[in-house]
Amino acid sequence: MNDQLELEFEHVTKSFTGDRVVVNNLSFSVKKGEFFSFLGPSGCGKTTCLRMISGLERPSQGLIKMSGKVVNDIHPHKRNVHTVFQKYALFPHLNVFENVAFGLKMKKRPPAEVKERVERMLRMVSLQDYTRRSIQQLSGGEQQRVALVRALVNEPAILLLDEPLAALDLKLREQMHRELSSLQKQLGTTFIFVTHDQGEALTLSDRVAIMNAGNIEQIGTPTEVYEQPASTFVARFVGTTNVFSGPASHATIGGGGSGVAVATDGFGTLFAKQDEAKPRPATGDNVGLVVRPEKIRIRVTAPAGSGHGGLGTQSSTSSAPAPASAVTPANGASAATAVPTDAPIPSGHTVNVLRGTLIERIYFGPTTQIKLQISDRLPPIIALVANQTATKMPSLKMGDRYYAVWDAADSILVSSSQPTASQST
Amino acid sequence: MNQKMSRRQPPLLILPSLAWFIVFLIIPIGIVILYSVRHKGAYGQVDWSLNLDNYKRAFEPIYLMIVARSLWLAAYTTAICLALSYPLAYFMARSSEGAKKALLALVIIPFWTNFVIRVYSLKLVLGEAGTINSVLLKLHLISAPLQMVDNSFGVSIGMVYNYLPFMVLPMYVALDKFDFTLMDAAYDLGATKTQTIIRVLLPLSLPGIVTGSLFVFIPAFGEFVIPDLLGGSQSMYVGTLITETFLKSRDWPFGSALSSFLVLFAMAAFMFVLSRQAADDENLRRAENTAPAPLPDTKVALHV
Ligand SMILES: Nc1ncnc2c1ncn2[C@@H]1O[C@H](COP(=O)(O)OP(=O)(O)O)[C@@H](O)[C@H]1O
Ligand SMILES: [Mg+2]
Repeated sequence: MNDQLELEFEHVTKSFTGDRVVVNNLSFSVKKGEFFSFLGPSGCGKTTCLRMISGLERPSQGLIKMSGKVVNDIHPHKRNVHTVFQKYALFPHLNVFENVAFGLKMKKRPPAEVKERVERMLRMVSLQDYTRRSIQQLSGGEQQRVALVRALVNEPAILLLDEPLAALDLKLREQMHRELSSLQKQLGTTFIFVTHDQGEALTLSDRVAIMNAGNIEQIGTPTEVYEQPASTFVARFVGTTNVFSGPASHATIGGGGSGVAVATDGFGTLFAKQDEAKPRPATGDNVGLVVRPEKIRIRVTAPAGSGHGGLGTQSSTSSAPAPASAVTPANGASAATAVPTDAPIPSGHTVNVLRGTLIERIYFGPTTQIKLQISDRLPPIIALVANQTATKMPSLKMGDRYYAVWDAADSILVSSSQPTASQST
Repeated sequence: MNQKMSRRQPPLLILPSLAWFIVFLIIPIGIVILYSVRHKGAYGQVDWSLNLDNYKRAFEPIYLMIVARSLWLAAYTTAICLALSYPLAYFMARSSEGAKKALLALVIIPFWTNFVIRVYSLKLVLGEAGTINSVLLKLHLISAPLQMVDNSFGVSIGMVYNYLPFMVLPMYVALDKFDFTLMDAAYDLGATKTQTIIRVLLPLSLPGIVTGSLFVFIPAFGEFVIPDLLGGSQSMYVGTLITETFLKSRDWPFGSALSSFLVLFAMAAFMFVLSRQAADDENLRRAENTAPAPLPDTKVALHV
């Protein structure tokens, strides 16, 4: 079991001069051959983590293990780890061939072998005709490829990639996503990838660690972090989302199972279904309630019947058990590409209803994102509607008032983390 | 458009510096050359008949010895300055912005004192009754004062002390521009510290090393104040030889010939460096002119 682990962090802490902790007590492990990502805002300590893995920084506390062995005191040039640096760090005085050959030359490989391996790698990224070019003559995308093969030609056990695509334009970035995925599968190398772009992290990774101010808030598959965010920070950082918070209390909700009522500030009491696998929050605990924009239905009239939360109507609970309507977004999709649900909410389910004025409408093609202003001093509710259904209902007009309705089963309960990030896409 | 015009036609703004260049450089050198092909007359006056004897005389063994001694002085001054400056400039370049400014000021401040006073004060520090000797005597570390001035040791101390900033500054400029993540990249690729310095740091800071070396070597070769003040009467250098020829022997034509050699030497050194730079540029241009390879089609390439 343990020899399947490529890398382990055990209570790793890093602080630079002064007592500011940049990386705080991190413990996690990465399996051999895994595509693992660090996702977090700029300055949260991602690069510092990578530098500790490559050996360019030493942890202040804790152990770093590779294939089970502690490597804290192993110098970078003795680790089988290579890095694609944030700004590539290609050697400007060497040409493409010499850059890629650098690592092999340092290891004193015979010239014939160096030539053979460098040329094979350059062929792999279609740069075989560029060997004599100087680095300054390459485009951003080409430099990125040189940086990639300069690291890979040494056949590292772990390849570290520090925001390697941040400087590329969208189209090139998407092309590099495909290229990176297929390279990683082809070579079977463990990739540890750093990015602040949630879409990139979700599409590429087997697992994602979401970092916030030196801490890991959650580690999970892209689906897990999107659908079951562990904190309001994760929910906000991964995809567009609506976050409410307030003290929790027990509630019975329609549609079976027990629920939690969250007394929000300004949005009334909102209901969520209690996930049986998770600990139930104690009454009075401050919790976050998250709902994804694609789970919200927009209605012209107030929904009739069943129990309601929110401000739309007064609530009364009836309990007619019906299967939960779980329309899940496509695997790892970000909000802009998620499929909005417009199926009717099963009768008997408790729903949350909020009423507000349409203040923004952004056309995405297959979907439209809208914002409803509930009251002046509260952030607007973001909802995503599918455009086929939008045409079926009276077209949404700016300034008109609509109901935002969602199934209590689609509310996600999360622990409430410090409000470090604002609502983000 | 504008740029093309200005390239063909130098703008009026360069006229003042061009005038300066002609009046204070080209004309004096011309005069020196004119004098150098004359001869000293029997009464010390200049004999205006054309003759090249002065240039032949400069190759007499006694003068060649002096040239060799000066070359040696310039060479080791440059070498010592290089060895001292590189770590200092490296440290400065890696310091925080505030520390950089403070260190830079420390390097420059000595320039605010007159050159001769600076050199003369060294005599007070190093002399027989100077600070160092009196401290060492008081501590009973030595029984008799050390002879540190009026010999070649004094000259080398004075030379290094005076020329160090000329080496530090260009080197600092080069290292300050250096991207230190390149060293991380080298370590990451398996290079040891020594390999990283030789393969990455030195080649990329070479322009600073070359500039600094020229700034030290050329004036050090013609230096005459420092040997005069700190070297005692024993040793003659090219600079001292030229001053004495002009002022003591009053042999202007021979002094001019020696000066012409010095100018020639400085120009040759600069030309050598410039031509090497031009060769590098030419290489780059040639590389640029090779037809660009077609944009890679990665989809195909990944399945080889
Ligand atoms: N060598 C260093 N000395 C002092 N502080 C540092 C150093 N390297 C990084 N930091 C600080 O650590 C924090 C995290 O940096 P970094 O790991 O680069 O973040 P990220 O890569 O996530 O943007 C930043 O606030 C940065 O200022
Ligand atoms: Mg970073």
